[in-house]
Amino acid sequence: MKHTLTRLTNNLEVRMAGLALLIAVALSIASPYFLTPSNLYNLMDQSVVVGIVAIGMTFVILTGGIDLSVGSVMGLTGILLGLALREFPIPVAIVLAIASGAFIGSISGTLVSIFGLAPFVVTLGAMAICRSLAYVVSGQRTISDVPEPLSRLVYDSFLGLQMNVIILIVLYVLAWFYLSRVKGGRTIYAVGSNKEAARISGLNVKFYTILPYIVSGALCAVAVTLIAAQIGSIDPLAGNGMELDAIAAVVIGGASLFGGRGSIIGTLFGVLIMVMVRNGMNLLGVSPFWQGTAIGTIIIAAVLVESLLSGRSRRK
Amino acid sequence: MSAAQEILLAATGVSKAFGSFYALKGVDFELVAGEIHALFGANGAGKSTLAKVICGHHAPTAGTLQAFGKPVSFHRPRDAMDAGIGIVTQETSLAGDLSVWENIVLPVYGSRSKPSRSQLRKTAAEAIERLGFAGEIDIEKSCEELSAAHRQLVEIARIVALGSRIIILDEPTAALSPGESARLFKVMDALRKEGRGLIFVSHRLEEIFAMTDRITILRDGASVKSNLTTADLTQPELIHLMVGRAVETLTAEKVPDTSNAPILLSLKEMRSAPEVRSVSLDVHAGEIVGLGGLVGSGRSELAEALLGLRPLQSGSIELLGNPYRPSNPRNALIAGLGFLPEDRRRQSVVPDFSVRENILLSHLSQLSGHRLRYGTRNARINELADMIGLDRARLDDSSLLNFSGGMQQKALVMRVLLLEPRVLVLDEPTKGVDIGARATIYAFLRHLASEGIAILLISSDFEELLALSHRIVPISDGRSIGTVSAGEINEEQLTLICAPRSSLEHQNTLLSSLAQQFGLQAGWVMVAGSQVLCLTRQGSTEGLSLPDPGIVAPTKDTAIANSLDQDSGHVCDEIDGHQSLLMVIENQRGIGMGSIAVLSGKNRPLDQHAIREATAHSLSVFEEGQLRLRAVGPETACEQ
Repeated sequence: MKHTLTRLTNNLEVRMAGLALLIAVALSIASPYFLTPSNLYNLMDQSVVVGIVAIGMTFVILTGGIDLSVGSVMGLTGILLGLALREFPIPVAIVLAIASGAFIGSISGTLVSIFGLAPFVVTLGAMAICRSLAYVVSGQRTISDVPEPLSRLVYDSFLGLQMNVIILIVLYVLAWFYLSRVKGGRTIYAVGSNKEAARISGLNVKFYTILPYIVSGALCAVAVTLIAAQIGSIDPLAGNGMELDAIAAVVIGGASLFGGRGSIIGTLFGVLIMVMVRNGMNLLGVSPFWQGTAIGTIIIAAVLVESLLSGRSRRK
Repeated sequence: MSAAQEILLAATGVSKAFGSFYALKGVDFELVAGEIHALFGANGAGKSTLAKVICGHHAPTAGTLQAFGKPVSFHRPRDAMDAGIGIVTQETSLAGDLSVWENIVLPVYGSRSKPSRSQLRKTAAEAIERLGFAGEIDIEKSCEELSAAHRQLVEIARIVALGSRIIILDEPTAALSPGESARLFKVMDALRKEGRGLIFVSHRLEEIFAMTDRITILRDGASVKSNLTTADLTQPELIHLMVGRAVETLTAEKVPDTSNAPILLSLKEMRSAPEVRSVSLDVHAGEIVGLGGLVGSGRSELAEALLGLRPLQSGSIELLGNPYRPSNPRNALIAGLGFLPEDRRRQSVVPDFSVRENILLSHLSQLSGHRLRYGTRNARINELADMIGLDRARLDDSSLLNFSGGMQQKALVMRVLLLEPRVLVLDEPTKGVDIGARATIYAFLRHLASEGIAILLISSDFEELLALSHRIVPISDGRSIGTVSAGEINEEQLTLICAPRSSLEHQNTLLSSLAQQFGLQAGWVMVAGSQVLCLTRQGSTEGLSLPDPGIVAPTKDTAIANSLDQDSGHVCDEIDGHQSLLMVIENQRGIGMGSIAVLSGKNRPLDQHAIREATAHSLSVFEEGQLRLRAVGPETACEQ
């Protein structure tokens, strides 16, 4: 019994689920509104956008990289989506937006993988470029003529779940399957864990270092599409600050910034923990000015606990 | 050791744990002033860990250290340095861009005192002078330009400049030629006479018997015997203490005849500059060919070039009889070439993968579709685990890092074998592997060879290389030097052949003085069975000539065929009116180090007595007097 328990707590996902549960219980005791159906519905709704961006971020961080450009890529691809919606049918416009996100990611990925530049620097540059282009292309104006049927991506429901939540779940299942059951996913882990060993064992290190940035860019476009569908307009400022939330979710979810360690389920719990804490603070009437301090503390605490638990002197 | 001698350092029950793994478990050790004390043990016995505990890199988990009679506890290297303990590590810790003198006084920059530059330069110059290298090492040069041997001396000078009385030398001869080692030993001797205590970490028996006063033997992290007097021990006793049982692992087995077997790997003048200059070799099916070279000779780089990790400039490669152009490791795998890299932690182990998935890593790389198909390899993994002696139950452990070095290596050998390669390139397969696991790995490699796999073995442990290989291809400065049967050569000879060409300088001086004095051609040759290798030659004669340097030739085809055949040590007549003389060189322990061969001009008889005398005189001032001429028997007629 004790053995099983140790093994369970040794499992990253189980630890994260435990932590999420703990926070949920604490919040439901602290606030009578937390467990109401409408609030739970809110929680899911708020998880969607950051949840989708966090998938791409997980891919990138697993290879030992980082993508600081996610927020700006959302801004730029959002504007491109808005412009495309004026010219093309909705599905075509969405595909174009996703393709442009993937294209931006492929450039960052190539600079990191082929030219060996630091991911931090490359995506910092991409962050500035994409935000600036978003303003230039949009003429600093919000695009508000988003066609009404787009909103079905959010508000249609199926089996009692809203469409955007279903999209989130489907993407998580796909990502989980890819990372744990497909050659490419295992290669991403191997590259992040020991690039040299992966190379010598014959894995395609270059391609699988680029791929995560493509996934991240494409998912940014998906996320901004859902924002556009929800609020019916697209702002060049969309996704501002998203990199912090996404990185925080991945890190709270137990991933190592050195690469090789982390999981998509962990990231999902990371997203839920972030959203619950934000939501709980709102319910409890914590001043918005204090919320940053609370979130920051939780990020550092989560990483500290994770590093103490998985302890060992594995990375001296 | 007399009781009056000052005890510089005493370790009592020192243990060091990394996580749950004890690298040291209860080591006792004592160092007195004016001695060289050997720390002896197999790879992975804990020698280097103990050295690191003594010099403050690791804090001991248990036990006490006393330096100069006072208990000490070091928290960082600086503490040990301040207490008067210095270390010369295997990988030199010099800052390449800085000059020699700056490197020597580098520790001063970490302290609070601020002497002037000229003062520091003077300190450095004095340290070099004390070691006797004032004329040879320019202290203004940057350290990058120095040879491995000189770098090491700079490190020692640094310790001398600090005034450390306790000096640890961790495998200092690993990258040195025999001549360079001899000079290092002279420096060590001088430091000993100054009343310092030297800790000499080594696994080379010869060196330990030649240099050390006392010896402490480590096995599996514990001191089996502490502070024994070296002179009281014999080699077999020492080996027995190191291994814990009579040695049986390293006996050479009968070499199967594979000369008719197909050649599975063939390299012709392969070049991947700057490290690999020209390497030619063949490996037959069922054969283990040892690539013998010192650190820095281009051995590992050759392996990397074969995988396509380094560009190939010229030369041709045939793999399984087909032309092969290295492109990337995946294609090498698919073509049937398996590679086990040297550095497990850096190049092999994927720390976040389970043991099983680590083994499956090369399987992962050669999948053509996207599905993992891990299950298809289960049977083969189980079979390999049983063959190599890895507990099946451990295959699903979550991390390979919790395994001992030997178990890690077994799992990684399994990874390479999973794809059933026909040709295996193994780079230091027993580095950091305990004795028990070594024996298993040796037996396993022999088994693989007997099944028809061609193995190219790279090892800096020449004892292992000679015992395990069927043939040896020595490599020096990126050039292969023919091929010799493993049974026809000993460790010392192999070290001499593998010595960097730069160290031939001294030999050339000696040979050219002989050549000038007597008007003949002189060369340094090594004889192995019916083959001869000329290391270097000086002078020339009209007509005949000694064999070209660096090429192994059959003895009967050379200009000195009769001398080689007779092996009498006396002047022999050769064809066309030439005469030759072969003088065997041996070291202080009577081990042959090759021969000096001289070849006269046409119809110019050799004066045996005068030549031997001149050679003996030259040798006495050469290589610190480490070498001498072997005596010869009474003259017998040398027939044509």
